[in-house]
Amino acid sequence: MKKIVGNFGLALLSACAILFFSTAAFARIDVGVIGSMTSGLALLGQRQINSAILAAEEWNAKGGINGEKTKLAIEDSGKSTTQAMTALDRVLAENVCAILGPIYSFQLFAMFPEINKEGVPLLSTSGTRKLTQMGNRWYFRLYPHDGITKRAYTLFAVEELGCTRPALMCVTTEYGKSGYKIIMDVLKSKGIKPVAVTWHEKSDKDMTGQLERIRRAHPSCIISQAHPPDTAQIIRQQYELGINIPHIASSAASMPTVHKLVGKYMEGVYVEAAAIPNYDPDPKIQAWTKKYVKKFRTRPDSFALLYYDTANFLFNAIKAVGPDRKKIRDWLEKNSYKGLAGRYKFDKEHNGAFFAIIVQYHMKNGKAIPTVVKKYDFTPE
Amino acid sequence: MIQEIVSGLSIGCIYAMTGFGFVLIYNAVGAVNFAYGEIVMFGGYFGYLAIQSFGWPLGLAFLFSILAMAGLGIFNDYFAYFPMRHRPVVTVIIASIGLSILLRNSALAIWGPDPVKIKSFVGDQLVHIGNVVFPLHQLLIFIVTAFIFVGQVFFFSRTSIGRKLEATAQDQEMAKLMGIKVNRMILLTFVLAACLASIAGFLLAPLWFLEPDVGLYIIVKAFIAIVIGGFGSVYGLMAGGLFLGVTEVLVASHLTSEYKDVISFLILVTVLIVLPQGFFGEKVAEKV
Repeated sequence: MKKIVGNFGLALLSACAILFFSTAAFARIDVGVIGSMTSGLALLGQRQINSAILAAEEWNAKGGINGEKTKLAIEDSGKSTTQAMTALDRVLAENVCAILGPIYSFQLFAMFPEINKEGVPLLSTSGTRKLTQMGNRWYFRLYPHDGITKRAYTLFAVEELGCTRPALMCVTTEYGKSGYKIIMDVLKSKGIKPVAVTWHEKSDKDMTGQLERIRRAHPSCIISQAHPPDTAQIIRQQYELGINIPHIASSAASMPTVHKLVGKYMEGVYVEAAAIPNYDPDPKIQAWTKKYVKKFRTRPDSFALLYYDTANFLFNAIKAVGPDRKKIRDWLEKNSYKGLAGRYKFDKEHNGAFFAIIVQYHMKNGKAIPTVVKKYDFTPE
Repeated sequence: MIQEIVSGLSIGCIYAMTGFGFVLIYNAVGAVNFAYGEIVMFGGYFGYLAIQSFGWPLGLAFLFSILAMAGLGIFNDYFAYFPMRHRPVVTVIIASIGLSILLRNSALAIWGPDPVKIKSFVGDQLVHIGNVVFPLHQLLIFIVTAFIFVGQVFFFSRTSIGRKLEATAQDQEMAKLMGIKVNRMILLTFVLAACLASIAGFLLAPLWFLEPDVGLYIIVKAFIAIVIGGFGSVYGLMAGGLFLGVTEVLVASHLTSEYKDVISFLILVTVLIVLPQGFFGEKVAEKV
């Protein structure tokens, strides 16, 4: 009899324990994180995932969101749409209330139909203009799109450098062509017509022809819209050919890889960016960068900083309305957030970041060091 | 105009440098080797590996690259040619495409997608002659290309081993009857072509950078140069390379930069219509 009572007691205790831990398991907030952790795309993806981990740990250390711990369901989107879709299915299986998505637009485009069907907020830091022009109410962008950054560096060239005779050098990809259109619109609004426009293939290895055409037009500055390898060719050859006029380059020129290729010719080059966490004098950003480097043993890039802000914006939304997908979406649409890199507020298209900075590089001990020379904030009131 | 011509000649020399080894293999086995662009890329990457990972000086890295490339040449022969040597030519061509994909993806896995560069033997000084300015490295490209061009002509016409290679290229059965060890000659051709690729890789890396896709880019351009010049002809290759390089720069500068590649292909088609054998390609008609 005693044995039966003992066994019954043990079973009851086990049941209570299971119930307790099950309840504890329910008392948490599941958030999906999808990013490239493998392949060459991991260069950006892993840094962003790090940022999400950092933000979640900070919230959990402070007691969680409304007392509930945040659990990240992290999945690898690799380098293909197939891997991204598999990752999406996996995080949806965790019944997440929102997803911090990958940076690459081709993966985001593939996810859109399922995101719409499931009705789950998806936030990312991609710059591709078209993403927010597709009418997807569940997608939120927290990175300045090309319409912001290209506007900023064209305005900088005209207003700050007094460049009234610009020459444009653009790559023939979608990125180059959409950037060209934005630059031309800004120049037109200022009553300026470029004295020369040249195009090149992404894989081109020599820009002498394009640069000689530009030299003959006697421009007062060069504005380039290109990818990393061709940006490096343009900057190097411009100064090798002795065309000593200011160069205002797209964000590719802020990559350390480009600096290694260009070397001393980075001196004086202006570049547009969303943020420069490693060199920003803001004490808060410096402290964050230090913490990031200490934890992950790698330096964050601008995307990582804005992804951190994105995660925090989302956690604030969950804090305000709870882990309800529709309520989170509605809250994000109506509210703003002041992050480390800037202020975020969504417009009708769900673009949330409207700031950009212009940096100038100077060579110090063989390294290209950026200095912020102008900050732009086009956030709609 | 002179500035553009100088740059165009430099580009043309790189096309020609890439084409030398390509033509060598084509003449020996009668099939185009589409992996040759990636082999050139590996020539540069082996040098980069020696400099970055082993900390070796440029000269030692170059020697390392030559040796490693000799190994890659042997691999090319045994892996992508020898097992297919009795099959139709198209099988050998497809095997070379397979090798090209293998090498490109290997480079991506080993060195990643970011472009890298290696320093030039002559540094990054610029040469100023009147209004014309060009990197000293371009002068090195001119000299080395000229040296290899003359050396290749001399090697095939004046040395015993060169004549054996020429005989093998012209008719393998006849060469066998003459006592030439054909398989050994073909292996030697692959090794020689890979060593030339190493030189080409070292010459292009300081200006064009190394990345997994660079091989694909240069083999397309070298192939156009070879067709324009005349398939199988070293003289034709040299002429075709220089013609293509100068044309590209002049078109980008004076006509259209957006469609310069389209114009290059139009020139290729025009040459094929007007001069089907290219500038110097009498032998080719028989082979193709």
